[in-house]
Amino acid sequence: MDYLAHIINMVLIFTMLASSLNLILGYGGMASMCHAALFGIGGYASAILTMNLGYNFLVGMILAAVLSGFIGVLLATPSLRIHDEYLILFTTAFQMVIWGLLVSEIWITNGETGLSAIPRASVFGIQFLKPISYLLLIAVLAALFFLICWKVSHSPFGRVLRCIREDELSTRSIGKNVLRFKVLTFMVGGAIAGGAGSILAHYNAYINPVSFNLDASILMIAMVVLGGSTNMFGSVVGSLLLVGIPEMLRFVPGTATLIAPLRNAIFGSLLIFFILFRPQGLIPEHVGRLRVRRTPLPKLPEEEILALLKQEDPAKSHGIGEPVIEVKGIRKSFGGIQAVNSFSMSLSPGKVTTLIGPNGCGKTTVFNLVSGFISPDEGAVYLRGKDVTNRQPHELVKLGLVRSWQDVRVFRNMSVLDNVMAAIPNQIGERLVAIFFRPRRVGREERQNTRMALAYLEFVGLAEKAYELAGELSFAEQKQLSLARLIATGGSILLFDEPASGMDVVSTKNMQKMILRLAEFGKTICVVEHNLDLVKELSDESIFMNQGEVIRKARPEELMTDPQLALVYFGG
Amino acid sequence: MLQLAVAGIIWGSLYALVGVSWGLIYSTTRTFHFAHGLTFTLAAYGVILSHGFFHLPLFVSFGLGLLVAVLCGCSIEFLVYRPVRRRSSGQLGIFLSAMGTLVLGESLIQIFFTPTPRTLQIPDISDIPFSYGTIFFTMADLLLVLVAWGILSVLELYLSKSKAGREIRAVRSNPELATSVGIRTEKAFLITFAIGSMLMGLGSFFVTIQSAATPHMGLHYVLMAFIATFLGGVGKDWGIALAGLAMGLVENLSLVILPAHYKYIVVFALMFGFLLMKPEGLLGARNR
Amino acid sequence: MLMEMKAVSAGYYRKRVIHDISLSVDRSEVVSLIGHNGAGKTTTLKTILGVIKSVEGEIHFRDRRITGQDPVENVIAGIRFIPQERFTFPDLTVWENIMLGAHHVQQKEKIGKKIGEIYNQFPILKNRLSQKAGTMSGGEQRMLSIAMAIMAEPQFVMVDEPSLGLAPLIIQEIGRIIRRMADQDMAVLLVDQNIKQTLKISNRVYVMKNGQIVLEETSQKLLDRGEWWDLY
Repeated sequence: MDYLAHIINMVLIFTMLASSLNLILGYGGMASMCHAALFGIGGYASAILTMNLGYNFLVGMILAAVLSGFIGVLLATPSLRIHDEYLILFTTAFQMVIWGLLVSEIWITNGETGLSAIPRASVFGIQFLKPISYLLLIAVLAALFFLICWKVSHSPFGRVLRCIREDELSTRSIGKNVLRFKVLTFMVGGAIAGGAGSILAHYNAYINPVSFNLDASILMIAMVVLGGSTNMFGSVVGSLLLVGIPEMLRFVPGTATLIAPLRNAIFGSLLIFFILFRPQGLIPEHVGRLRVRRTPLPKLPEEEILALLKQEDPAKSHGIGEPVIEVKGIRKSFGGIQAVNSFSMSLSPGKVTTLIGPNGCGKTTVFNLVSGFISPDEGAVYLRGKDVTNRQPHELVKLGLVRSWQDVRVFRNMSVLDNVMAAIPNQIGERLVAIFFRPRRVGREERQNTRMALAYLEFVGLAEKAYELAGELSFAEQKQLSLARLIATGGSILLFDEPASGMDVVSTKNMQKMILRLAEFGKTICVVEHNLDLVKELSDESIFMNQGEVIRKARPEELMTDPQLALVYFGG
Repeated sequence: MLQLAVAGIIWGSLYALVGVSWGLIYSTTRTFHFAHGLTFTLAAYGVILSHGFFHLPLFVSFGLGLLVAVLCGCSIEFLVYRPVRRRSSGQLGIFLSAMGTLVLGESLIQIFFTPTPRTLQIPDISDIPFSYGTIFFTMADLLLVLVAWGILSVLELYLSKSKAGREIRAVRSNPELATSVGIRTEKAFLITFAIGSMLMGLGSFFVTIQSAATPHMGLHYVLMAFIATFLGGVGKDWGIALAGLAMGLVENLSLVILPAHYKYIVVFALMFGFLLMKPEGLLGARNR
Repeated sequence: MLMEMKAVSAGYYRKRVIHDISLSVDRSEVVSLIGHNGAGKTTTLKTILGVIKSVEGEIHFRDRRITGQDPVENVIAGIRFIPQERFTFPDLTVWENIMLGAHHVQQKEKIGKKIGEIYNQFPILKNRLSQKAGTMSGGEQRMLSIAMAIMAEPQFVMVDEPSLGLAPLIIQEIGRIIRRMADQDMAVLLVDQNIKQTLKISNRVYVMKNGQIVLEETSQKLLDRGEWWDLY
């Protein structure tokens, strides 16, 4: 009986580890090879604090969690600058350094001998000694940690994490401060790992570095992958399998000494098997989520949709006709090639301005410069009089300036509805504190935002496909989705990068209709396009560019009858 | 101190060798071949078994070790990476399958051979010592350094002069265009894995005949290989070799100021700090 | 007809980017494909090459069905594709690039003879044999990419936007080279945004818009129009 309780306890502890890693790896898409190191830091910290300073177990656990969480923050902070491949290396290096320190700093950690005689847990005077009595304590703590992970993952915060995993650039372009999300995720994940370490230490009354080496980190990754990343229940299944099965093997005679390598052999082969044949894991991402949410969609009245779309954004108090965006003399060169040379334009509400010109003339670079993805060498961009030249994309989105992408960049593995909802600004559900301490308000806001998102989808004509995966939509539908996502940000200044490229005639006409309506609602619009039919229908003013410079600004019809421009566009 | 420098050169040469072996595979196939460590370990056991157990002559063991290494690397590419790539699970998928393979392989070795280190028991030419004042090294050490740099030079010649080498460099430089000129990329990948694994087997031979074969020995070397590759620059073979040499020197010379047990941590700490300071790598990241 | 496409629809994953495309190219002719960005021109070329797997319809080359065939097989059969971007091996020398152009050619004498021709046609390259391709100017790299394609004596060559970013003089030179390829009995399918030049060197023209072919015409007739804004 005691033995069974022991197995369950270990499964529970690893569930904590797997679910916290799931937040980082499964939801956030960040390859962390050092989860075992964070686990170990927590374990040793708690052991040392309770043994040397006489702290109580709970205090030790909390301090351990805080320490590991803090270290998680430190690890994540440079992560934005580090490319994906390097993150694996970075976290591996950290894992090895920590493990090495655990082994070598004998004066604190007792090296490979490990720390023993760690005081057993005692909570409010109740001493926990045998595995079966621990079962209740660990189960409660595991449930608590699991709940934290579950709540975070199923909140708007978790939704943004998934966006980051899908397409980080796109996530930045809908106004999310990606760094903040990454850091907070590592903090929560690390803290729970540290807490789990403390629990292990006090449960076994003994820890040594073997439990916290690279293999252990890999084991945790295997649990997440096998169970099904981005499904919290999957982490439970993963840890059940990878802890439970090897333990069961103890009953097979003759394998006693082989438990460790056998377990590793099993999880190694399971890992390969699953990546090959079932990469989504045992429990795929969408089970439990889409089923529950398939409630019938409310049909929103036309007035409500229009009211939402005409909503002024708070900072706007502008006269119609006055320019909202002024670009003055921006220049940019890449390695000796002048991509943009002294480009200026102004954009006003209610007007559609188009940027046309031959391939390679710098149109997309201008967009990248204006929307904050690259910084100009010279010149400035003013938004309602404020200099925003070197602002980050997500800051510009908050000020109302958003852009779409030529290659669409929808979040393919998320539902159409989620794609749009993610873009809605000012969600308190993206704050961790609110998720835990104001759940009612978060819930209310979610419902409101769902209505808003549906309204936007109705506007672009995708409302019936709300629950479909964005990746399953046709190319034209994905473009419509990206339009809905753009509007959802509440931006009043919309930059469209080749909205009709790759679309057939009917879809192009639809796109045209929607853009014109948005202009009617008072939005400021700039469009880069090659489809000259569309350009003529859309814009009042067209800017013709060549080799990074503005050649002429005029009505499209005038530009297209200009023989000089024909020469440039079609060649001599 | 001089002895440490010599040790640094010996280890550095080994790291240069394994670094280039991994870097070649990564730059050409863009596969994070974590399981390269398994190649090292299997080659080691191949040598120990054939020479120490079956008492085959040393040079036969040498050949056997290389053969085992090549078979190991190519099988992993054929059986694991190629199918995973076809399913386009992305870099993460390949990396996870690589990890799974490494863990599975090493565990199987541990089960069959037990964790007891296996040594060659018989002293032979490899143990011939050389002693000059305070400097001491063995024949095996000398051979390692000579062979390592020798084979790296041969590799460079092969890559630059031969048709197959040119094929590999073409795939490395522009994989889409390679298809457009009629290069079968999958075949080029296999050749790359064969060469990289052979180099790894080479390093493994010289390490094993002096020490022992243990189930997890490969891990340390593949980690060193990663670090050397990213420090030296993906695609820059001589950069990687130099980085490996530098790592060996740092690792050993650090013993002057740091206590012995820090030896293995030093390089990782260096890598960690390095990535913090210069995330693009030593000689600039390759743009793909 | 050397190469024929019949009612081909293709795209990435399950999405269709080109719809119901039917076109053909024969020996000794330059056929150009024009249209606005995003109209599906490059996708069409890539579909013929075989890199796009999701295909409906039929593609025939030399009377054999090649729909969905592996690109390397198509290259060996005599089809070449010169892409719009990244059209050389930048880290390799000009000489190595040229040799790679004839990668699958077995007979050494053929290669030797062809190299002589290449030197005559592209004197710039002859002087830069040991230079790394990536360090040459855009125009020189373009020349190299064409030389690479010719090395294998292909029967059908597809060229994607060869004049992008180049000076007018070089554009003309490249145009001449492409015309010469057809005059030497090759079939050429050319995508280019420089309409006037393209029409001057091609025999026939297909216009693509929104993923479909909207017009098929002889180049002369299209040239006679004088303005082409409505095609975009």
